[in-house]
Amino acid sequence: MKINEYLRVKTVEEAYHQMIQDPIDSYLIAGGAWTKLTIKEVQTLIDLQDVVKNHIEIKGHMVHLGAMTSLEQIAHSTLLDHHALVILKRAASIVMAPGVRNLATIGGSVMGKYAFSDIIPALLALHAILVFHKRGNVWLQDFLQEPKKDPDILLEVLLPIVPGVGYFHAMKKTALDFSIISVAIVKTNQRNTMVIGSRPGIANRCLQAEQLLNEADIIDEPFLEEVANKACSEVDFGTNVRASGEYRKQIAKVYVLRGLKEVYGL
Amino acid sequence: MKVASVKHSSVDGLGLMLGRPAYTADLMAKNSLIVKVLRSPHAFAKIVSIDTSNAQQMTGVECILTAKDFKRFAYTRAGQGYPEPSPHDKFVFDEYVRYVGDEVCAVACVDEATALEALKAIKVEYQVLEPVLDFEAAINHSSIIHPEPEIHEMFPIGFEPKKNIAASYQMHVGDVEKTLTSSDVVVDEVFYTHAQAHSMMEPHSVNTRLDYMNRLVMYSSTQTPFHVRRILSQVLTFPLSKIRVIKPRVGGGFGGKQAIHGEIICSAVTLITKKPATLTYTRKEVFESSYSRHPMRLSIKLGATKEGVLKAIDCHILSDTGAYGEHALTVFMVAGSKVLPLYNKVDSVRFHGEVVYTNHTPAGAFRGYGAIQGNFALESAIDILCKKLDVDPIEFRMKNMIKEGETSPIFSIMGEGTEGTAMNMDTCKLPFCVQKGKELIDWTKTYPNKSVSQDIKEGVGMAIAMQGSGIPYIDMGAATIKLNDDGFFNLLVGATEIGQGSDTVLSQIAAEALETDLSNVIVYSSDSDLTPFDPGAYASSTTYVSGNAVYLAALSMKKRLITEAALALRCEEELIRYDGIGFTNTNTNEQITLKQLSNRLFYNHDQKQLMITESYVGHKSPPPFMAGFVRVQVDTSTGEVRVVDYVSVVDCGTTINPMLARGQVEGAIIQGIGMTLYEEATYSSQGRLHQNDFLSYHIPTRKELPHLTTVFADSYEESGPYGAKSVGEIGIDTPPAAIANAIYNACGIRLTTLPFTPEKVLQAIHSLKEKLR
Repeated sequence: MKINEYLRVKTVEEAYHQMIQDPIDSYLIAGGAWTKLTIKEVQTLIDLQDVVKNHIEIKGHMVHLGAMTSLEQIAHSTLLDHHALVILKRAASIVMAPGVRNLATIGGSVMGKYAFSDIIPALLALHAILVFHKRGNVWLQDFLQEPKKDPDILLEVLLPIVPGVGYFHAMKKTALDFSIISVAIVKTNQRNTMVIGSRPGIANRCLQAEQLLNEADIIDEPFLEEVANKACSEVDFGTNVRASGEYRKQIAKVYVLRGLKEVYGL
Repeated sequence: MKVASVKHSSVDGLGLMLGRPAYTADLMAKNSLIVKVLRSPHAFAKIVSIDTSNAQQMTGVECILTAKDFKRFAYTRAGQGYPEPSPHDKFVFDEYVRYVGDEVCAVACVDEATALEALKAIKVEYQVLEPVLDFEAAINHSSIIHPEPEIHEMFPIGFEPKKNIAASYQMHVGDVEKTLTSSDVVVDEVFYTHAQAHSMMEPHSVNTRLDYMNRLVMYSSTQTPFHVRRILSQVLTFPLSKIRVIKPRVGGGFGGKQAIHGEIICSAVTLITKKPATLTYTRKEVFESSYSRHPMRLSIKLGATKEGVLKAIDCHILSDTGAYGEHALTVFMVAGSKVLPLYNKVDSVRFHGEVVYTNHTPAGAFRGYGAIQGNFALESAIDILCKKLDVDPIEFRMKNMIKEGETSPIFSIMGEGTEGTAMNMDTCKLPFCVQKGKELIDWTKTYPNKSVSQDIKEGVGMAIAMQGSGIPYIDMGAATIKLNDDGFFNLLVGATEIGQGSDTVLSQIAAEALETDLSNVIVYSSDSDLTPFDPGAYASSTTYVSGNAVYLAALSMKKRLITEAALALRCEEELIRYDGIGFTNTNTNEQITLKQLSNRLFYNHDQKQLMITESYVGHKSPPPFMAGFVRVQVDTSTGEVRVVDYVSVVDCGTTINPMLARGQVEGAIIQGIGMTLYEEATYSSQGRLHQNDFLSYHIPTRKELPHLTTVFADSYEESGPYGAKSVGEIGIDTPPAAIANAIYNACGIRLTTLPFTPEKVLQAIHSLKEKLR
C-alpha cells in the first residue's frame, strides 16, 4: 500500500470528519494485517489506535469487544469461556498464526466483510450487534446484507450472553490457509442459529434449517440429517482456486451434521 | 571418533540467529542501483517492439537493458558440469517470451520506487501466440516454442526443438515385452506428479560492484558459485579472471538456486554503468519466474510370477520442462537411475520417454529430482501388484529389493545425461531399515487399517528409496587447509553451504582427521577467488565428495605437521607421536605443542607457511537407502488426510553430525509430505500460475507436522569420509508413495495424481462406493 498521509487521530470525531471530507481517498486502518499486501494508493490513512477501545469487558448481559481488540486477545480471553461464546475464541484462534492474530482486529474483520472470514460466521451465530459512531447499534446480519452506506466508524461489537452451547469448525488445507468452508452453530433455549461461511461467498445464516430445528419436537439423528440437508440446500456454494462448489456443499453437510450432533449431544 | 559422528550445533547457527549481516542482501554495496525486470504477461508471444523512451527520460533511471544490449548467445542457466547435458536454449533477452513471468527487459534505478515507475513507463507491443499449456499435447504441437536457429545441444541428448522436445532417452535390459507377456500377473498404471515450488525462505538475490582492480565482484544466493562464474563469463564475454563470485550465507536452496537467476542482468548493469547494483526477486518472481519441479506423467508396467517374484519393469515418462530446458534430461534420467535399481533382480527393464517444452514456468533442479517422481510411481505400483498377488507388501519388498553386495545393470547404463558407472552396493542396510520401520510404526497392529471412528479410518503404508552420493567421474571437490600461528587451521572449501550445515560437517571431518577441536578449524566456503573449486551443493555430493577432499587434505596436513615436528625435535618422523595437542619424540620424550610448532614455523626457525590442497572425484556414487513408514487418518466423509506418524529408517553410512543429518531427513520428509498433500500448482487457461504467493501456495506448517521418528542404520561406507554417504535428498523420496499406499490401506482408494487434496480423496471415495454398489 502506498500511503501519502498518515493521520493518527486524537478523537473519533476527528477521524469521522476526515472521512466525510474526503470519502474517496480516506481509509481507516484497524490492525493493519492487510496493509502491506494491499496494492493500492491511499491519500490519507487514519489510525484509530488511540481512540477506539482494544479490550473486552462484560457489562450486564453483554460482552463488549472494543473494535481494536486483536484476534490474539480474543483467542486467549477468559471472558469468552461462557456458553456458546467459546466459538468466537475458537474462530479467532485458528486465523493464521500469532503474528497475524496480533495485528488483526475484530473491527477490521467485520468491516472488511471478508468472504473468507472465520470471525464473521462465529459472530453471526452469536447474534452480534455492531456499535457505530454515528448510526449507533446495527445487527451484524443486517450490516452484511445492506448496500454500502455513508462512512461511519465501528466502535464496539456486542455479544449477548445467553445460556447455550456452540460449535465452530473451519476446514482448511493447512493451518495458514483460508477456510474452504466454515460452520458455526449456536443452540440456546430460545433458538438455534446456523451459519455457513467461506462458501466462498460471505457467511450466510441457514434460516429455513434454523426454523426446522426451532419447531421440532423430537430430535434424532435422521432429523438432524434432514436439517443439515436443508441448511446446505438453502445457501449457495461456489468454486474458486481452493475448492469446487460441489465439494464445499458435500463437506458443509458433513460439518453441519457433526455440529448439530455435538450441540444436541447425539 | 571424537568430532565426526558427534552432535554439534551448526558453526554458523548462533551468529545467524543473532541477526549478524550474512546473507546476500545484507552485503550489497552502498548506493547500489536497484534492478527490476519487466516480465511477460503472456504465456507465449513475440515482442513486436519495446519503447523505453519515456522511462529513459525519468530522473533516477540509470540504465535500461534490452536484447540489443547483449550479444546473441544461446546458453543454459543450469548450474551443472560442463559441457552441460541441458540444451542451450536461453538468451538473456529474446524476441519471444515463453511463459508468464519471462524476461522482457530490465531497468536499473536509484531506488525501488523509481524502478517500479520505470517498468510501468515501458511500452511493449506483443504479438500473442497460441501457447502450449498441456504437456501431453506438446509434441508436434502447431506452436513451436523454440524456433530460433542458434539453440543447440552440447552432446546428443535427444534434442528436437521443432517437435517441442527438449530431450529424450531410452534404455533397456532384456526383452521387457516378452517378460511381461510371460508374467503371471501384470500391473499397468499411469501416475502424474506436479510442479512443486522450492519455497526456500530467502528469495533469489544478487549484487555486483566493480572493485579497485576493475574486477566484477558479486555476492549471490547461489548453490553453484563456480558454475555462475563460468556461465557469466561466457554470456557477457567478460574474462573469467576478472570475475569474483562470493556465496555468502544462503537461506535455503533445495535445488532452486542451482541455476542462474539475476546474476547476468545485475552484472551487465554494473559493467555498463560502472555502479554497484542489486537484484532481489519478489516472492511472486520466485514462484513465477525461477524454477519448479518437473511435472511428469509416469506409465509403469510391472510383471511378476504368482509366487511374488518381480520379473519386469517397464517405465515410460513424459516430463514437462516448461519454457526452458534446465536439467531437462538429467531429472528425467534420475527418475530411472535412482529408482529402478531398487528391484535389481528383474529379468528385464525398460526406461524411456521424452522431456517436452511447454509455456509454463521452467522446471529445474529440486531436491530428490526425478527420484521422487519415479519413486511415487514405482513404489505405488509395487503395492498395487502386491494386492493383485495377495502378498504382503513388506514381504514382497524383502524378497525382491536390492541387498548389500549386489548390483544392478542400470548403474553402468544410466548416469546423469551420460553413461553411468558400474558399482556394487558395499553398504545397503535396506533389510534393517524395513524391519526396524515395521516395528516402529507398529505395522502388525494396524495393517492394513483400523477404524478410529465411524468416519475416520487409519491406515499404514510404506515405501523404500535410494539416492546417490555425487556424480561419479564428474563431481569433484577440493579443500585447502592452512595452518596459522597459534596452531589453528583455516579450512577453505568450494563446497556450498546453503543452510544444510555443510560448513559444520566439513569442519568436523577436518577436526577429526587433525585430531583437534572443532573450534580450532575455521571454515570459509565458496569464494571463487579464495577457495578451491567445487561444482556446488547438488546431487547429494557435499558430505561424500567434498568431505573426502577435506579428509584427504586434513590427513596431508597432519603428515606435514609430523614432518615439521620431526625437524623441530631432531628425530625421524616415525618416532613422532601426535595427540592433537602436541608432538612427542618417543625416543627422548622431548615435546613440542602444536601451538609452539606453529609459532616456530612462522617466527623463529626454518620459516614457512603450511597450506595443503587435496581434491577428490568420486569413482562411484554409493546410494543412501531408506524405508519410510507412515500412519495416516482419512476422514472418509470429507476426504481430509492427516499424517499421524512418519517413521524414517535411513542408511546414509556414518552420520558425521547426527543432529544435522536428522534435520536433513526430517526437513525432506516434511517437504515430501507437502508435495503429497498440500502444495499445488495450477494454471489459468491463459497460462498464469495461480499460486504465486504463500497465501495460495501451502507448504506444511508446524500444525501439520506428524510425529516424526528418525533412526539411522548402523552402516559404514568404506569409500566415504569416516564411513559417510549422502543424506541431503534421500528423505524426500518416500512420502508420495508411502502416503498413497497408506491411504489405499486405510480406505481402499488408489490415488495416482499428486497432490492428494481432500477434494480428490473424497471424489475417489465416492467413485469407489459407486463401484461397490
